Amino acid sequence: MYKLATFYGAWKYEFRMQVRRPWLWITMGLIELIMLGFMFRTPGVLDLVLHLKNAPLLATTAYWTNLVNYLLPVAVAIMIADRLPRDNRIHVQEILSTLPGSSGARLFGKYLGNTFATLLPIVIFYLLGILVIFAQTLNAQVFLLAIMTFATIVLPGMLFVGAIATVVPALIWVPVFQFLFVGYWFWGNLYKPRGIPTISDTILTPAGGYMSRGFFGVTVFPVDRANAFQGLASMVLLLVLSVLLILALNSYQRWQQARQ
Amino acid sequence: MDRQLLRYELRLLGLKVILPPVLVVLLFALLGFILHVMGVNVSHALVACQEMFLPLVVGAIVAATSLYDPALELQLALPTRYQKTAMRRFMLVTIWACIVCFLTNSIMFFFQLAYQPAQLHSWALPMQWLGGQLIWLAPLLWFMSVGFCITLLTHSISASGAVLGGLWILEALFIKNLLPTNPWLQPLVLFPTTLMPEASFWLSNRLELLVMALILLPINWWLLRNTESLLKSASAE
Repeated sequence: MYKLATFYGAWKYEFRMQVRRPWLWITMGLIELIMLGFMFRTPGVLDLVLHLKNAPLLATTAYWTNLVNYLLPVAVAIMIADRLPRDNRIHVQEILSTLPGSSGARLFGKYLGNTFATLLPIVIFYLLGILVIFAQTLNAQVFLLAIMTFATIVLPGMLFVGAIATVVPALIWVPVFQFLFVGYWFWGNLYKPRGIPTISDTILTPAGGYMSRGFFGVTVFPVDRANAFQGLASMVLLLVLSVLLILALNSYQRWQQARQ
Repeated sequence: MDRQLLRYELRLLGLKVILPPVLVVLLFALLGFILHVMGVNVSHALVACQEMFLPLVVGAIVAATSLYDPALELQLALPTRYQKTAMRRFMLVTIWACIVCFLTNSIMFFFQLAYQPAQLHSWALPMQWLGGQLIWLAPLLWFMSVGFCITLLTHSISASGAVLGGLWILEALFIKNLLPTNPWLQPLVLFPTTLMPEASFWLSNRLELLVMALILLPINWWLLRNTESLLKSASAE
């Protein structure tokens, strides 16, 4: 019970702290605008958007969810990456370690609070796109599909991205993590396998290609074939790895504390 | 610059600034070796190393080193303004990045490991070597100046990292498809050697990127004038 209170306290505090950062909203908004600019300048896309009612609703919703998960996880990772090093920089970590309450619960609260707060601008952007689809099709089923596609394609990947962005900067310098994550996202999620070995066609892809192809039959990611079982396996793998990463970080922090 | 000050600044920047570009080159050398063993053409990956990856890592480093100084409060009381100190650090990172990139490019040129853009093919060999330095110089200075500028505008290394990272991926994946219908984007293509070595606008693009980077330098200098605001944001971020 006490662990739950610690978790909730950390979650609430981290969520509020992250969601009140003006640059979270401005940066996300800017990247979303640049993304839309690139999208609408691509030949044929504008015409496609203006005639959405002719396309199958499920595929349209799944494609939009894929597009949201194409680039924005990079911004999510980078916006979360400085949270834990910040605690060390302004010496909050030492104060927190003197408080009663489980360090693991606090770390999970920090991780989830940050991740969900960083997701908020993306959820709003996603809903705006869903509203455009609704305005074109006038089919309220799109809202149900939106929840389904978001929960299965975006959420597991974002939780994994949030875990990586919380854990890795505890070990390496934040700008190096930023560079490595951009490279990883390009190579391990978006790069179509041709020559250079990649993991972008394996189930360890937080971009959500396997979930999208497996559950909804379409994807913009380099996954040509996948069934629902592989989609589920990818989802479970990402969620389990996220938990394991945070547990590993907690053990590392405790080991570090014991050495002091 | 006095030698003692130079030594002090280098110690302050430390291995975290010196090592990453070298590690990127070593990582790509290893990748090149693996690809060679697999029978895959390595030239594309090696050009991408100098044109795409080195500028990104140095851009992220510059963005981070410009804002945070463990003794920023002290800087307020010193006769040398932080503006000057930050620009000195920017120059040191630039010099180090240029040394790494120049050596990488020259080794690749002399051992014919990478290719040259089509516009340079008709040039004499020494001129090809010199002109080929623009492969890395233009995107490097662009990423450094833009990263520096975004950090100073936003007072947030996360914001600059996210914007640079987002632009990098969009440029790498989509800019090529946009060019036929949007020729005005030509000056903004950051990686033409990797994505379209046959491009007829290669040289003009390199010069335009350099001009953009140089224009941002006095703007960055001007943005650095208010040390108090940097101090406030460094603790608030």
